[in-house]
Amino acid sequence: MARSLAILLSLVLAGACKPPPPAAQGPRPRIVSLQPNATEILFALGVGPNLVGATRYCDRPDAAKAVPRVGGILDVSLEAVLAARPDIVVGSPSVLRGHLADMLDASGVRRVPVVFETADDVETGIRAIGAGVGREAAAEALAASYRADLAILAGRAARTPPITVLMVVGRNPLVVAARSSYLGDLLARMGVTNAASSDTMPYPTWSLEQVIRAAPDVVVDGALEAGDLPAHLADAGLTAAREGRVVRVRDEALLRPGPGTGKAALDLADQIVRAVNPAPVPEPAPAPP
Amino acid sequence: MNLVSRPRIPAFFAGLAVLLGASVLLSLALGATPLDLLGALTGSAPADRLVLLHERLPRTILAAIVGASLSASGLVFQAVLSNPLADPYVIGVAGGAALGGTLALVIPGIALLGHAGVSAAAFLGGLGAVALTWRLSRDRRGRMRAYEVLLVGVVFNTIASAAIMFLKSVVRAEKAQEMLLWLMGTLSSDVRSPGAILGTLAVALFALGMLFASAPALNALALGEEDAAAVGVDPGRTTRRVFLAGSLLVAAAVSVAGMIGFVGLIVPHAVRALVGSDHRVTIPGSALLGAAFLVLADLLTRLMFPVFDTEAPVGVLTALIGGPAFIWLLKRGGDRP
Repeated sequence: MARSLAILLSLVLAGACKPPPPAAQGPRPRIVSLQPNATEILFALGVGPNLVGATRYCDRPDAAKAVPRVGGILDVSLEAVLAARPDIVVGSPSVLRGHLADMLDASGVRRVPVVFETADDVETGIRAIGAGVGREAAAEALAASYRADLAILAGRAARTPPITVLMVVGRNPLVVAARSSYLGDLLARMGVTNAASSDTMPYPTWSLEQVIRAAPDVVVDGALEAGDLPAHLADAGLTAAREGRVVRVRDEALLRPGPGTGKAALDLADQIVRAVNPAPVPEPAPAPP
Repeated sequence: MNLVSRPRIPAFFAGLAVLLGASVLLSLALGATPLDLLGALTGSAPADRLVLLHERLPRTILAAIVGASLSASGLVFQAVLSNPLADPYVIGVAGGAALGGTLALVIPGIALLGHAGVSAAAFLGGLGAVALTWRLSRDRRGRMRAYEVLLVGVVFNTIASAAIMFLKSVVRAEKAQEMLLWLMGTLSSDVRSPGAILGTLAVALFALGMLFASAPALNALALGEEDAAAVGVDPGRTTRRVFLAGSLLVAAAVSVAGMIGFVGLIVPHAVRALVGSDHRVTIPGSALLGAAFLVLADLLTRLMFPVFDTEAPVGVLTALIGGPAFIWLLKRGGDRP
């Protein structure tokens, strides 16, 4: 865990390239975030100190743990949100609706709904949050950094050999990231073939039989719960697991669409390729000027 | 032996009214966060006024309506089914309402209607399930057989539960979580509009009125069907009326608050332990005590927010309080439906 946090910190810092500029002068908007990855984006935009409310799952970066809690992702306490006296509330459209939306509107609070269902949504979401909190320039820089990471990923994808990958995001039951999910989209951008090709369910539950039949070349273990997935799959007879081709997501930023996602995707793509071919993939020579 | 003697019944009702009044005031004054009550009332604290009038007030009223509905329906179901374990959900209405509400959460067209669609679907699902249970539990002469009502209700609830589990397993994770919260029973839903609350109140008052009007007939029925018939009570008609009123109460309660357990089991037992089994007393007594109980339980969930960073579903709390209390009443003995 400590290792993954260290990796995360270095990736986030590298992702931001340089520290975000200080917030603009004048009265600082009071912000409540109802989504953990939005909280991370807000910190990366330099408005972390403006946060007056966050969910109990908002634990990245470390400073987010000190932000007063207003509930969970679905079990938001309206009282706690209003008591935080926010000017802006950022969250998913499925939460920023109904009675909560009515009360925020009646209080003159600006709602910033953000959706993160595809890899492109990361860029769109960062920009939407930046525009919502008046940090357009910082958001543009963050989005550009992410876009650059995706461009590198696309370049590597063109040179990636055919690899079938199964990404596991839950161990018990076995939940996998299908093509239609945000993680499935990232896998596609890595140039690998997703063994879970469902277009209807983003995160279907699979049986071991399905895993064995899919016969992935590499299994990506993105589950956050404890358990020895490689041993479990090896016991079931999965060749990839028996031959040590189960890679663990080293950077949780991959699982939370945000500032570190691009770097985390590059890292995972590298891990997948190395699992099949331990020799490092050479970067192409830079084009002559 | 009742704890409250007959001459003290008026004082019993006065005590319940005071308890309910105090519960309501506490529920308005306290909550997940501190509130400037004076500022909220005078309008000098607009955000607090919003919390008081548009969150705590409707939520408290809803808790009182749901608590009264579940308790009164539990009482009469225990009486007509001659079963102390009969609670509002046992006759299949819970399964039907839960299935209706769950379908509304997952079917895109209905889900777009938000909580209004869920409430309407749950209400209709509950009534549909009761109609089915009723139809399957009648003998050749059209009379209801109590044990068949219980069996059909339990089986229907099991089928509905399986269907819900299936739906949970095939929807997206966030939708499954939303379903789980609703199924656990919660008053922190989107039901806050005056129309929704007045509608639920109207159904509850109508059904409670029906039950209260049936109280003398229920008392006669408690002596046995033949004795009841001898004093001019039609057992079949009384049972049908009580079932209809009880089902309306449960369907309305589930439609706005999901499945809040144990209120309909523990409150009637407590009231009978206090004042005996005269339905003219126990029906309004259960309604008042149930209302106060759920208002206080909901307040407790809100007061726990600073500790857990979440409001636990009130259904979880009522089960945690109600379970041990029910066992205590059972061991204490002397309470019979």
